[in-house]
Amino acid sequence: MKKKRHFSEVRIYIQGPHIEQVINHCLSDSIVLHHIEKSKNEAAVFHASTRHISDIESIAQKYHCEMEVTDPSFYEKSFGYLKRRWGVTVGILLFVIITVVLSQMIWNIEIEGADPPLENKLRNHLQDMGVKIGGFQFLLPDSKTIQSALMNEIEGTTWIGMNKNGTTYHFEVVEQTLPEETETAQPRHLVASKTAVIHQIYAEKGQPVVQQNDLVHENELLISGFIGEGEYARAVAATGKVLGETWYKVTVAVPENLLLQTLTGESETEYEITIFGKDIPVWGFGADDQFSQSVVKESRYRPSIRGWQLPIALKINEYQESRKTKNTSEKSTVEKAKRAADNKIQQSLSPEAEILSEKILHEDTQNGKVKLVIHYQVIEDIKSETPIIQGE
Amino acid sequence: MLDQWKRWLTEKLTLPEDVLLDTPRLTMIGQHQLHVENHRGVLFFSKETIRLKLAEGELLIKGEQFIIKKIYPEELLIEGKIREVAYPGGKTEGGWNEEKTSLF
Repeated sequence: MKKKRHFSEVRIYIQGPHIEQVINHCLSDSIVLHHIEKSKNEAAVFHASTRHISDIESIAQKYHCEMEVTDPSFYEKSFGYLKRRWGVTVGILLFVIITVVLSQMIWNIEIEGADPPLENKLRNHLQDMGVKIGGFQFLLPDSKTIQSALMNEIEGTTWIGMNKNGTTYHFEVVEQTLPEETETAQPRHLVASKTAVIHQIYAEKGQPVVQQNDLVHENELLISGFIGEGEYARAVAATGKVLGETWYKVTVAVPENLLLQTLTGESETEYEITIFGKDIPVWGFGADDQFSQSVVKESRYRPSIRGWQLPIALKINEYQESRKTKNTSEKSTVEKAKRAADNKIQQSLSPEAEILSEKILHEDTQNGKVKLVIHYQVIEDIKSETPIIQGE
Repeated sequence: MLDQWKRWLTEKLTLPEDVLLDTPRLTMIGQHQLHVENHRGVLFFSKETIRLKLAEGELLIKGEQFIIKKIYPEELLIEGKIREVAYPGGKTEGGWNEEKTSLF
């Protein structure tokens, strides 16, 4: 049978001729006994509360019984251990206290939606209120109070929301946005930035002076800023969309025989310790002679103590076997040249520009190089602005 | 005198006898638990036999593997395999009976 004991109870072994009388005496002294079990004829085991031990002992002596505590209480066992190992006890207590204290501190304050000056202002206000990193959460007023105080004190915000997530305070700011004063643009014309054929023209404001498929040269007027006639004539800032077809000629030259270095996957590692600038190999000797062609990957680990560099460093050289391969197929060379030309043109165009068509004008192989001339037909924005200077 | 009075009162009010009289109340759960109230102490205790002192006479319990689970001044709980519960000594103790009340 499983003997469940109360945590403050001890097990007592008692031996003597008058155990029943001991029990009766205990009863009259209102000492509660549990789990009395006769083990032999004149011996018994029972459980009793720790504080009654001395009483039971004196009663047992009265009836010439021998008494022995065979098993201390759970309480005594555990606390006895803690007393003996007071260092552990203090450590555990300290750990618990530190954990609780640290979990009650503010570790992070996040502010979202505020521009830097406002954020700075908000942080200063929070600092005054005690919401700062390292502050204690239980010293702070509740979040509603903080929220309303912040909203009252800080101008330029529509709403400040605050929520606490563990040890992090998260603020969400909605700034007051006044309708932006649109800059009243100066009267201007739109002119062509380069020679092109007009592909599409749309005047939002102003008077278009060219039509689709017209050829325009640089600085030619596209959309005029003057509108109205006679009495109602006035100058406005011309806006619109003008797409023009332009042409580019790109020349690229790519070597025919490309030497490529590839790794085979085999590698050997050599470890060296560097002391005062001298390399002393310690492991993987002769790794550099393993392969006829190899690439060296060198990495250094330099330990430092508080910014002070130790004179000892570990150097790891990884020798990776490599192989050189030649790429001689002409078709792929041309492909490569084309790709290079594509790259070249993309770089000089704006991202909105669209390449309409491309055409290889000239292909030539000379001195082991493939030379390619490609013509590109591109649709791009060609407008640029010129202010109207209004004189007399 | 007081005892007689109590018996009369118990009878007239139809109270449970153990309330006023010092008669034991035994509650037995199956064969393995016996709860005795109103005892006056343990006379003998071993694994096979328990003799309890009562206000009048004694109570004899026989069985196997007895353990006194709990013991308080007025009640106790025995666990084990109970074979018999007896009032030895031929006396009609443990409650009032017709003969005695007829004296009244």
